[in-house]
Amino acid sequence: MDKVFAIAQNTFKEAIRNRVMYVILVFAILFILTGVVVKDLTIAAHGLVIRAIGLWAINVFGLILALLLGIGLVYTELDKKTIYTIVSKPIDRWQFLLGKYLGLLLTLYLIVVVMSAVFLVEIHLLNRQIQDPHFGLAMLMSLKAIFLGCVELAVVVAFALLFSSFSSPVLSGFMTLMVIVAGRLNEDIERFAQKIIAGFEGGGEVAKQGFLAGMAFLRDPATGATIFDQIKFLFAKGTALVFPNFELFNARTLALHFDTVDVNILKMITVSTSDALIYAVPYTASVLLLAMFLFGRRNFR
Amino acid sequence: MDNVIVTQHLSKIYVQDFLTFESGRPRLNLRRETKRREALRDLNLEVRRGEIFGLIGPNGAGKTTAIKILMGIHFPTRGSAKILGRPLGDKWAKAQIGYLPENPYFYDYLTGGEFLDYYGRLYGMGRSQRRAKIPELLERVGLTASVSIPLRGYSKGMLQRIGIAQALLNDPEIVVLDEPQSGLDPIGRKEIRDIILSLREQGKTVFFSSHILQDAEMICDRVGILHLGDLVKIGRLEELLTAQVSEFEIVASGMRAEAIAEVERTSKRTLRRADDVLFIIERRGDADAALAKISACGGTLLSFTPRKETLEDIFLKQVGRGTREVAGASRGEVA
Ligand SMILES: Nc1ncnc2c1ncn2[C@@H]1O[C@H](COP(=O)(O)OP(=O)(O)O)[C@@H](O)[C@H]1O
Ligand SMILES: [Mg+2]
Repeated sequence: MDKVFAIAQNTFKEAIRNRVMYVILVFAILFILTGVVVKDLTIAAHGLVIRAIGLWAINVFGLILALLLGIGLVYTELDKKTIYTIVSKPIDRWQFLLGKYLGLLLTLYLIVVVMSAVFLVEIHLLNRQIQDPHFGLAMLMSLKAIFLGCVELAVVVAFALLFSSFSSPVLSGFMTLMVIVAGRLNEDIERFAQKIIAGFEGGGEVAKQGFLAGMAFLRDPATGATIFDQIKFLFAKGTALVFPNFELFNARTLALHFDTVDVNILKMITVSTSDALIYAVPYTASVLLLAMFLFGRRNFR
Repeated sequence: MDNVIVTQHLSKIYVQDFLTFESGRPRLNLRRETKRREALRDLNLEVRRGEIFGLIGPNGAGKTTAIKILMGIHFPTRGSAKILGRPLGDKWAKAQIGYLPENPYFYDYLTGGEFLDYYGRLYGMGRSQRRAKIPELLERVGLTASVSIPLRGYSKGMLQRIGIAQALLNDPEIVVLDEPQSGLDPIGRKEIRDIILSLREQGKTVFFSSHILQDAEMICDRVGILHLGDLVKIGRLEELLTAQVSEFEIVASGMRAEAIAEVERTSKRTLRRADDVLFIIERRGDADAALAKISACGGTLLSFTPRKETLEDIFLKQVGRGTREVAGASRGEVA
């Protein structure tokens, strides 16, 4: 296991000795702090604006860094041929990948911690002026949103690693971005797939069921669905199935509006931490295993 | 004497898929046949414990390919190999090996000390073990003063030396070096040569590749000559070299013109400078006759040198004249 940690530590060192990372971090911190200026320009509650900007920035800059650092993660070692000396050492290839994964995740979490610290100090200082009665809860909700954002990062980095282990940085960057977008839109895509089914006679019930049930329904000539409908469904439902659902990790809406919306809406925007973890852990593990499988059999140029 | 590396019918054919990545950019190969390159064909060789084995051949001969297969970087298309009796990829065997790749590049943001510490951990060495070993190795490769300089500040020769240090971290049984001397100045080459020789003194096995024949000739116990993927010759260096004396150099002075003309007829080449004459004669009998002639005509024999075949002579004979650097291009590409 020390071998995995050694690789993780080296990955971490590489990242923190990279100047680009600091530029982005400084930028992120400035962004979080703009809340202080912007809050006076809006009619919304000051605490809300600052939390919205802060949480958004922590999430988005975390993803940007995951993308930037993640896509070259394995590729650089192949390109610079450092992989040659690593592979010849008494370590397994999967240990190498796991080390790279943990190293990058560790780096990102450290960055998130730094950004969050700035954010928490900011809202704390501001609260001395406006005395929000729900401040304690707001703080907790924000922390939950940040934590679930970290879970989301674990999934994104697994994908970046998977793509980076067999393709170039540009291509894997593009594919990782696709995953992020498809992940964010996952629930909309799912709704779209359901609507295709529901549009047909008797489809209302089937729409809530799985992929296979949906396909079987559309292939039944009695429904009058065309091949075009089938393809549309195949793509939409398939995308929703294969790509992760990042809405499960989005507790930001809740962190912003928990004190102002009514109970019914609150139920809708609440996300459960345990649900998110139960979803993320096996999902991440599968993506990592796939990456390890592919990486284990390849020749290095 | 036991064999530490044995390869059997090791072959590698590189196949270019219709989609390849060259320096990060995707490229489509729309030619109908996929391009195949036979880089190594049926390589059978043994490396014995405690020897320095040199794999020599021109660029593109397949040396690096053979080494990459042995190191688990590439998988062979056909054939197999055993290192210390274990199949390729065996972790125990890997723990007994040190490897320096061709034109090594290492993490340039690490200092020399950090780099060795990292690799020590990959070998599974404990902290105290690393603390003891790393200064010793830095001393051995002459980099003690550069321990806290980042590798991006290292010269080519220093990188090569830290690369060797990296390959010796685990006190390996077998040291595999791919072109350890290429790109170095004469001093750098001598330093590497001395390190290789000292490894043999310690009882290590050294397997290295080179396209520079003189380097190999100076230190190898046995050599294998690789050409366009084929092992064309293998054996002990003395056996390959002392198989025959290739020619005799005779220098004499004070010979009369007609005597010179007579010897010149059996001579491959004749050079005259002032009163001295140099004959290069290929056959033993002709050389004896020339010596007799010199004393008979009142000349003085200044020197008589039987010249042995060099590795270069053998190499050129195998590979064909004048193809030392560019031979790789002609074959190797097959449909
Ligand atoms: N990754 C690769 N893909 C395709 N062809 C390769 C690759 N590596 C080497 N070759 C080809 O295989 C042949 C042998 O190369 P190599 O083993 O590097 O030779 P050497 O080390 O003796 O110079 C060359 O013709 C080279 O172009
Ligand atoms: Mg080579």
